[in-house]
Amino acid sequence: MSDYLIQALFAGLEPMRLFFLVVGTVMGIIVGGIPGLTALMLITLTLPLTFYMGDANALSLLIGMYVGGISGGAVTAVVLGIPGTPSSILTTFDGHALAKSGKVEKALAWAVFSSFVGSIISWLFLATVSVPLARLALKFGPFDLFGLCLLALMTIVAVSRGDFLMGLISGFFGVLIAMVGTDPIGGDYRLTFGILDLATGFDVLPVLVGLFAGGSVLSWAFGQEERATKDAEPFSTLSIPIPELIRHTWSLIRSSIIGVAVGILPGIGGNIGSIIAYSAAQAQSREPETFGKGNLDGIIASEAGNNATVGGALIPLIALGIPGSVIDAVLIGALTIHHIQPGPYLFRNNPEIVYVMISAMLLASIVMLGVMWYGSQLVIYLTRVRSSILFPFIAVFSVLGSFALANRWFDVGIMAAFSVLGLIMTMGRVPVAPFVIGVVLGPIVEKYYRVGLMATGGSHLPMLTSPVSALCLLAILALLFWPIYVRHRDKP
Amino acid sequence: MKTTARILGVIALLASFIGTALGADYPQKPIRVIVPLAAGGGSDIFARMLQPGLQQDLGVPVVIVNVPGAGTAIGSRQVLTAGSDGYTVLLNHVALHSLYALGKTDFSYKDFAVVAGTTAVPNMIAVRADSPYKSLADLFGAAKEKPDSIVAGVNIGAPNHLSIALAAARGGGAKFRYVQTGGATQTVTALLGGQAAVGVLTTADAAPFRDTNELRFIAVLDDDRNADYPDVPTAKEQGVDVRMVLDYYWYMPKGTPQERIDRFADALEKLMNDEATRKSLKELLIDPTFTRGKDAEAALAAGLSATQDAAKAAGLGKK
Repeated sequence: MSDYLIQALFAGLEPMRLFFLVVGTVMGIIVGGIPGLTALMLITLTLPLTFYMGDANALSLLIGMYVGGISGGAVTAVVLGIPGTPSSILTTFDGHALAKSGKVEKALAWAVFSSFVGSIISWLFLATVSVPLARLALKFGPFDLFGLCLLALMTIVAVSRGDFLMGLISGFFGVLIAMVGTDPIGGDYRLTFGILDLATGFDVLPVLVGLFAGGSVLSWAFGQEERATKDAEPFSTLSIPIPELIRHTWSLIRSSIIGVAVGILPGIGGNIGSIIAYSAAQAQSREPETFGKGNLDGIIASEAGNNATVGGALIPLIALGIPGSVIDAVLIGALTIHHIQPGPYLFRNNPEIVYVMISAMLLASIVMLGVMWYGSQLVIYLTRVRSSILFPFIAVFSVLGSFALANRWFDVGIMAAFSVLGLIMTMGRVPVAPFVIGVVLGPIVEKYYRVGLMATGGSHLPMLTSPVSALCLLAILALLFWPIYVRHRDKP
Repeated sequence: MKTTARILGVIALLASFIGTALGADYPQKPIRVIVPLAAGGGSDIFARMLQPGLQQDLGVPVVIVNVPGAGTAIGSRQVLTAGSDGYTVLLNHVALHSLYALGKTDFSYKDFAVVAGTTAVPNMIAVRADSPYKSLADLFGAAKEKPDSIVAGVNIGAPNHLSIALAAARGGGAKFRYVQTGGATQTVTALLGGQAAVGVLTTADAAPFRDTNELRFIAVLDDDRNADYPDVPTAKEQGVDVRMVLDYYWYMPKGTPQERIDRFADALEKLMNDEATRKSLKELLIDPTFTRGKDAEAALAAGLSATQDAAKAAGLGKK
């Protein structure tokens, strides 16, 4: 066992592996930080190049990109309020709010550190209990996943505090937009108005890039920009005071564990780890009204939550050969190309490659922390770049990323349309976040609800008898009615 | 005499133009191969495995372009409407049939110029290793005894659904409870987690679970047993005549000059007979077969008609 742990720690330390790992992590951070480009694109583009590399080097490179890509998104989310990757949507709220109030360094420090803690905690689970956890996760039925995602959808309430009705309407339209495309069951086209290109629906990426990045570009073009800027004062290096760290320890751990759990579960996806962690953070907070206005727990939840899904999603891959996310599916492809058969016997047949993967996850997290912590000087420089230089770049990458998604101009059109919508929403003070959460979660909630009903022959009863879904429904009720109860109790 | 020479000269000149137009010196620029599925998936990896060999033989870059969406409909249609100059190629499998059989596209393989068929990957019916069903008779018997109780995890309307629906219809009309599950990954997850009692996997998809004590394969839906799964009996052996084999076909837009189609098919044929290629395909448990011309057309016709039967059996046929 101790030999196993030593391997899991150090198998990636061979010089060439380490070289590819650092290259991968740095590329991941950069691509992850650019709105419109995602870790998935980077990894799928790199995959053919790894045909000619050794298996351990290839996996070190790809896992570095995975960890770096998820982490890099936080930077643009904090500094520009534009999520670099879809999983950093929620970092824009508190991270960017804090940055706008002049505390860019503090927001960045926490975003980077939380990413690191999320990665490390998920690595601990990956390295120690992956097999039993993967088996346990298989037991979750469609109603359980439905309950969890519905609970996550409650985040709409959390992120639209202040103007609840507007938030609800915004979220509703998000869900509606997500309905366009192909019915998840049976594959009939719906709301496509006979346009075959719409059959894939509105992918999260062009919608998100349009609303956030495109919307910001248009806001700037129309002279409505709101940016976190920093005067020419000298930068202080990132730091986190110990008392602050102690105060937020529980928040870090809770968010990471939620991220791991979401990562392991089949068919939910990484974006949702940060959403659920965020809503848990707010539900537990003593000052929930400060969320979205620069609350540190908000940043922690989002960034620890999304990074922890990386290790979480690797768990079923390593234990059973089942990919926990789209990126993991590509990693499985990488294994097969290198003549390694993923599956329940991966560890028995190719222990060395499992060690390399687990070790790469750990080393990539450490490299990511180092690069982002000390590279932050460079990042903060972004706040000084003139808008007339910065925004054209963002526009170019928004077009590139949307096109690269499926190699078609149609997605660029979608991105452009949502840029206009983003501008209108900002001008009309309609919160964008609930809309995005609706787009991300709507389809999953719908799918698992209907799949659950198919499995039970139309009965809702098992939703209440399965402990996980029952617990989720109970939590939803509590979230809905607790504030009303409190108001009535306080009023005589 | 002079005039004749002039006329001959003009004819020669014209001929060289026609020759160019017909593909005498095809290919001269990069060829795009549209993979209508996501990058990193099985089809994509297959295309990218063949890409270097094709490039070498054809002498021009071969670019793999992923155009995923709507169960391959979007990428396929891009090729349908592309220029018929031999520089746009589609790689697709049985999904092209099932989309048409279900009325989701208004074009079938007949609307393309068929280049060639490569590889064959049969579907298998899978249960969990500790399942009481050891044969199709067990499974269909239980399903007939208690209709609509055994959960079959499938992707509604997709080849895996059609496979088991056709087998059930031809095996005496057993009724399963079909639950939307998805593709190979989701099927494995649902089987191992107990959300589904039966599912369908291709021999390649099932590779991670071959010789493990996790899953049991009770029938292979092909005419002969599969060399990689010698112990799995065919459905035919068990009295159920079903063949559901996922094979990849290469298409060009209708109207592409035959010389260019042949040139690309030659390159594919050479590649599929290449030892190194055969070896790496076999490692993925993909049978490196090759068909072209009349044989390919006949196999496609049989595939489409089986898919239409299956759609009818599943109650999903074109209305």
